[in-house]
Amino acid sequence: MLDIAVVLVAVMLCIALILNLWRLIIGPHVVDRILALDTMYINSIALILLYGIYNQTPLYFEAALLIAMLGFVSSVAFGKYLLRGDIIE
Amino acid sequence: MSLFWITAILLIGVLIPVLTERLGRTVNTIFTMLAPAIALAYIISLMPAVLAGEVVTEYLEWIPSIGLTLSMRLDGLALMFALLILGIGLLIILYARYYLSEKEAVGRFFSYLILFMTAMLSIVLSNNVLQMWMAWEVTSISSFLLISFWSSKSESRKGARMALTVTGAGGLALLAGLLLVSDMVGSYELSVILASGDLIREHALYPVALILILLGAFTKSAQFPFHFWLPHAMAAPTPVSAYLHSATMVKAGIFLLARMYPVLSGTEMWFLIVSMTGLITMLLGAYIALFKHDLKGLLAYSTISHLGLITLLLGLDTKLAAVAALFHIMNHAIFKASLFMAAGIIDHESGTRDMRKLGGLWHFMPYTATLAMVAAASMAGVPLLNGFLSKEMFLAETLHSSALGFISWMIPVLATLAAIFAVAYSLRFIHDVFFNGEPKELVKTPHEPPRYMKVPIEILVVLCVLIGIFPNFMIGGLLEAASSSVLMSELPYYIHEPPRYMKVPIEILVVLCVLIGIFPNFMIGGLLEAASSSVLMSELPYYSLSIWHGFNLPLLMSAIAISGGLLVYAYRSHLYRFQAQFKESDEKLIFEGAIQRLVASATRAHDGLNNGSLQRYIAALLLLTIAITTIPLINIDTAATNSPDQAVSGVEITAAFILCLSAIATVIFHRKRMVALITISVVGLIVSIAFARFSAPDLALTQLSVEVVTVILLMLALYFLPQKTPSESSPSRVVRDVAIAAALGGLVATINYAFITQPLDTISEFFLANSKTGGGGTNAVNVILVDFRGLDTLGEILVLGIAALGIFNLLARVRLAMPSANENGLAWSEDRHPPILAIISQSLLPLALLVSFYIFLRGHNMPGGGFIAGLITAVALIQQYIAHGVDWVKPRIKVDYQILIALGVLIATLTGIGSWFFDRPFMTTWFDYFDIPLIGEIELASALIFDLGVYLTVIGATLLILASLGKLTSSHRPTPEE
Repeated sequence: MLDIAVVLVAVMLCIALILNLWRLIIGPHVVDRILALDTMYINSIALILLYGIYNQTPLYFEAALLIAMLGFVSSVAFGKYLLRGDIIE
Repeated sequence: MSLFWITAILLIGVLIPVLTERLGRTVNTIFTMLAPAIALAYIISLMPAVLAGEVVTEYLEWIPSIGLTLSMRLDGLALMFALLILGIGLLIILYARYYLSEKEAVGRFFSYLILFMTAMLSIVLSNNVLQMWMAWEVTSISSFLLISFWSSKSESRKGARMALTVTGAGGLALLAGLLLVSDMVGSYELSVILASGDLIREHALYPVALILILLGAFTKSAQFPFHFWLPHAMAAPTPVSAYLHSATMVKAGIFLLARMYPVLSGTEMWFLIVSMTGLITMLLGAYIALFKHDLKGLLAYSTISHLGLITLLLGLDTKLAAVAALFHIMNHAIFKASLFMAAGIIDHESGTRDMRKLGGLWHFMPYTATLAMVAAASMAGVPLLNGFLSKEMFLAETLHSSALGFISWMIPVLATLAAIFAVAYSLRFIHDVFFNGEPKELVKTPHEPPRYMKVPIEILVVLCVLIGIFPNFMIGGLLEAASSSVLMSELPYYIHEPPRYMKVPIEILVVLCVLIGIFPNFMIGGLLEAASSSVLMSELPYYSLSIWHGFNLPLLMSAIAISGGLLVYAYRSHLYRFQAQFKESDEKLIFEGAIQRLVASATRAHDGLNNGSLQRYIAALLLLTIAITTIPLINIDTAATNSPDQAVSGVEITAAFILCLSAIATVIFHRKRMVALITISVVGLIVSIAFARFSAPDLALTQLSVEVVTVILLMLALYFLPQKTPSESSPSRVVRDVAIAAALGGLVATINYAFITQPLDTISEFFLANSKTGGGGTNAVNVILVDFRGLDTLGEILVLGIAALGIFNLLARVRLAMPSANENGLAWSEDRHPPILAIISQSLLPLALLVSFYIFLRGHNMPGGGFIAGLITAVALIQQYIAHGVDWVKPRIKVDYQILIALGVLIATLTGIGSWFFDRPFMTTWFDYFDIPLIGEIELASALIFDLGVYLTVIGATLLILASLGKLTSSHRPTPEE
């Protein structure tokens, strides 16, 4: 049962990632691209956790945790850049 | 005491003059003489053993695995040179004390002199050819300092540069030659090399090695056609000239010839090159010396001539010629040093060295004149002086030579011709300066110099006379020991006592000498006694040469030389007129021209490569990489592919697809920098996931945190940069760049493919097997970082810290213009710190710190460690800077990041040093298991403290870089004073 679920989720995540990339490339605005990147980070968390479930190991949990915790920092930096240009002022 | 102490004491002696300069010049001089005097005393104490035929050698292992030892050798040859270097060196120090004026930095001068002396002594005492070469180079450098001592004068600087260039270039040739010889023999040890003469002479590369070594020797000892630097080195203060051109520097080249004589001589090639070079140099030097109006110029060319004479002797194919060469080395050092010093006195007391202005100085300084005359007579080869003895041996040997086959008769004829000129220029030195009318246009009235200034000359002149009259008694044993170490066989010459009747007039003469020369000084000079007795008492071996061989051909040649010299001098005006027809060429100009052409061509080559275009550098670098890596790839046998195909899932294909597409997108969007930054972030993300997928969680964690830091860094920089890259490349250039990039990409792909498919031995197994037992951790990556390769990590965090401090310092001087609107001309938002962001960031901080602490602690056994933890903490703190601004963070984090870096490196280093206290090598890890209530059994390892150092350094360095860059736009920007 779990095997089928893992395969299904993997397929869905792959489609999601490709669609994210599609949005990232066509834009049209920079904000679209930043959002696409941020969504790719989230999908990556899911992918890494899925891989951990598939292999039944907690070893990859930290990688997902780091993306969750720090991934948004780059998105914030992009956003701050659009807002003020200067990200540390 | 050991031979190593000699160089050690002299090295300490280099500092003494500078330290004692304040105590007054006399005290300073005495202290300066201390180190050479101790060294000399020690050498003398070893003399009996060496004279008895013993070779004192000492070894000190340095890096035995590559054949590097420090090794010393004191044989007869080394002993002779060591006595000359130290003995004459001491006299020069005494002389220089009076020569240099009160204003001059005498301490610095003495320091250079002792440094030079140390280097010279290290050459002669070396038993390892590399060690000898090192010392050889130090003599070049320290002689540069000495020659350019009066650095305000242009001619001093030019002369010094010329000497350094010529002898330095020769030194490189010498290194190549010595390496070749060592390669043939398989050892750098001189003892081994000297014992394998036949092996070397029969080797196919012998001619190459010979020419390279001779190049080194000839440039150093100013042999034709490299002689031109020596006259220009006369711009040095006279004590330097007296030292460098009598007993040292130029004699280093001769020493090398003598040292390698047992190994390299004996072939047709050696005889031909060495004797011809010596002959030409001897004639040229003697001829030109006659036309020099400058006293030191005359002596310079005479030195060249005498060096040629010695070289010629070493190139003759009789063993006695080598003995004569060694004898003349000693004699030349003694009389030439005294002549240079006399010339210095004349210059010092009369204000000029021009022989056209000088004259009649006999009336002003009769005593100096007497000394100079004896020395000059020795240079001319007048009987009863030491110069006569070796010159007669030389003339006798030229008669026996067959080095040039059927035209060997030319050698004695030309030797006599050179001797004639030697007599003529010696005569000129005496007659033009001390007699020949009255001095003309002198700026000051000449008078006798201070008493002690003459002491060194007196000692040397007395030596000239004593050796000339009692050669056996004075230096016989020394010469025998030196000769036997050069020839490495039984001595060929015979011994007999001089006849009684010959001695009587000589004894009368000596008594006269003593009465005129020595007695007054012995009565006055306490210092003189110390200096002279050390020299006189040192040279007491028995004598085995003879003065009188009956009326024979060499004596006739000497007679011809003396009478011919008188004739040439008498009719010199004709020669001058003849010589005046030639345009005088200045070697300095020619040399400078050559150097400038060399510099110009080097500049052209440099500018062609280094034109400031980053594109060109990268293109060159990549092309080279392609060239270097393609060759081994071609040689890989494709048939050896043995790995089975690996299964690929849909997720992997998707990830690869995204990776490729986003990389291509980065290239396409590279003119819009912001968009390119977003697409390259995707590349980073996919790479991190790939690390996780292929069982490298540590790498995945590191890559993720580095990604974030990189994006922030680039955003900070992007603010000051143009938003778009203009299109500048020409179509052909685009084609070139695409071709290079494609080739390199293909190459990297090939290497990756080769790695996957080719059989490979890795060292991973070792680390996996030993990380738990050897380093106490199950995470092999972390154990490698903090334990197995801990020293590398220590070096890396040090580099990281230095880089951060460098960036901080660079930014401290930067003031950049801040754009007031974005790329589309829209004004920036007024909302500096949006509250939502501020609140979320603030609540993130404790969470992030907790995670980083957790990752730090578990690092030794599970993925994590100080480096990753440090990056996480740094990112969390940077987030506060972004959300709240510098003004908010500054009062809340009162940590100085520079101190944090220093603290981190210090902790790591101290952890490493800590293992010394348990008698373990640097950075040995200690670990044990403890049972703590509530928590359970835990492991504590010293590596954890080391990791703490890494952690702190990473935080400090990251924040110092990012925060400094961020602060540029705020009122807290770094200042140069900070």
